Amino acid sequence: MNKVDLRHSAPVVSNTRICTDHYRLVLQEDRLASATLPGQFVNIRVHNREDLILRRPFSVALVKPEQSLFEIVYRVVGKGTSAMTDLQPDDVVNLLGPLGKGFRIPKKATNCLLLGGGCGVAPLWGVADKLYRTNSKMIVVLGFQSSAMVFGEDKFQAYGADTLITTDDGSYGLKGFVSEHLGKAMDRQIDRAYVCGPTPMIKAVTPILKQANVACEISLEAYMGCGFGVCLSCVVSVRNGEAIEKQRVCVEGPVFRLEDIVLDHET
Amino acid sequence: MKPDLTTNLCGIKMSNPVVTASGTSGYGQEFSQFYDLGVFGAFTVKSITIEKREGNPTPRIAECTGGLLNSIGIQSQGVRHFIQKDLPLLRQYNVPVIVSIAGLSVDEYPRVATILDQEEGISAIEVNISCPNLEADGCSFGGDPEISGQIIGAVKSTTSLPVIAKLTPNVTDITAIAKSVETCGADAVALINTLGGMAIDIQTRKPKLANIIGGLSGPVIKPIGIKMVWQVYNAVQIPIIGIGGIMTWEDAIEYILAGATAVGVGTALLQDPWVVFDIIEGISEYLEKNGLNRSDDIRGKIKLPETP
Repeated sequence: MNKVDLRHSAPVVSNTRICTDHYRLVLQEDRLASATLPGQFVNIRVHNREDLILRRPFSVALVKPEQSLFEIVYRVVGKGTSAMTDLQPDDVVNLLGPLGKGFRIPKKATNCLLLGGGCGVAPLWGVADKLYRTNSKMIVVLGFQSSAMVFGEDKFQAYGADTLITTDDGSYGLKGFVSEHLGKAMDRQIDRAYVCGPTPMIKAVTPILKQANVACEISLEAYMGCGFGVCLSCVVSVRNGEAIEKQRVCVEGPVFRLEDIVLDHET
Repeated sequence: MKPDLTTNLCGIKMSNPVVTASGTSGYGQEFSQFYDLGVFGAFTVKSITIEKREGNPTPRIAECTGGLLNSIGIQSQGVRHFIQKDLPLLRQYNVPVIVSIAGLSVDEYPRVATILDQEEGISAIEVNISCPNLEADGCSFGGDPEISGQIIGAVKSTTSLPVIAKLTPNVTDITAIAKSVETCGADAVALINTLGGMAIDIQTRKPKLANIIGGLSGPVIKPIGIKMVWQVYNAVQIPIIGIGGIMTWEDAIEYILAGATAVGVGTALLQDPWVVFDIIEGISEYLEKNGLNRSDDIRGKIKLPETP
């Protein structure tokens, strides 16, 4: 059997703040740029610091294989991500990847809804990039806390997507949560939906998407240990036929089919 | 000349002293995608229970400075699933397989061991006595010398395989437990398991683990592991697998100096599965530089201050 080497040393190309607390990190690594599918993730060892035991997992936002580049967007939430803001061009990042299962992108043109919240907007760039190449029609609905947190709108517009922004406080775009404004998008013909965002957002949009009866894939967040399947820290309840079983977000996910995901209140 | 890294732990012939610590490398399926499992001196699987277990709610893991708190809750598919689905893969590799077993009552341990005893391709049984005793007050079996010995004796009577007792550090005197399991027939001891720990998110005021408390591992616990291995080395005759915060070859050497025959790597494998190659190479180079041929030559050879 061929063995897989997930270890990579990727030089930093840029690490720039894109809005409050959010940074875009562009890295150079040929194998990852070529092999990573939208929705897959990398697990970063921050500065090889001995006090930070766990790697930090980030969904890959976009790959540019012809330039050997790939990028992630991270939000500063703790010690690890704070330390990552110090990364400078030519620093080398120790990471494992690509990990997990990504979004399934059809080969033929189709009508797609992309639904993202907060940091979860970034992995949808990669989805949009692939869909654009299939001449698919895209409606994009993105939710943020406030205008200061908004990022990535222009990326989707560049792919010709109809883009709708919501903010919790109404300081940019429509006021309210994405779930409150999803109806407008659902009036159109939609065949597939791609969702990535915080768990409360996923819970809020799930009934609407289920009712619309579209093929929908959702990328889930979880606290992870290893990221490659051995520690069983990141399990979620997933339907497998009649049974409900524990599956690993890092291996069987992070992307799951909407109909397979069992939310907390259902168990 | 390259040092000879082979060692023999209670009849288990190991190509080198580095083994996986139970629970940090699953049942070999994931690691076998990365490299030949034969790199390890022995492969210790995640603890197996008699029946399937769901494990604990999430979050099951939280990082602390230099350490890792976990409360996975022995999510297990059960011993029959292990034999049918996992053991065949492990048999394909030239590596001794140590099967860790866990139970929620004293009699579950010999029941699992009896089933395993009939299977080919198992080199030893490691008895995880650190689980909470649900029949009693939820304290671990491993905290009581008598119950620890009772479980080891019961497992020994069901199998001809070597039996390794995995000891918990959450005790007042670990040598009392070690002596008891030795008396009851344990062929080796593995120590330490995780230390009881807890962490709270000060913003939400919620415990960071859904189970509230968990087990602490990682480099932060290494001095405790070293102390306990040294204490146990001086208290019993049976060999020791030293475990607890081994991240580098230097840590492994330190455990061997404290008295360990083999060393278990756990949390480090979660961070980097390939670290095992560096640890083995580092041990070899250390021995070579010090003009030694075998890791056994330095086992327990710490230089103590001379008594006046």
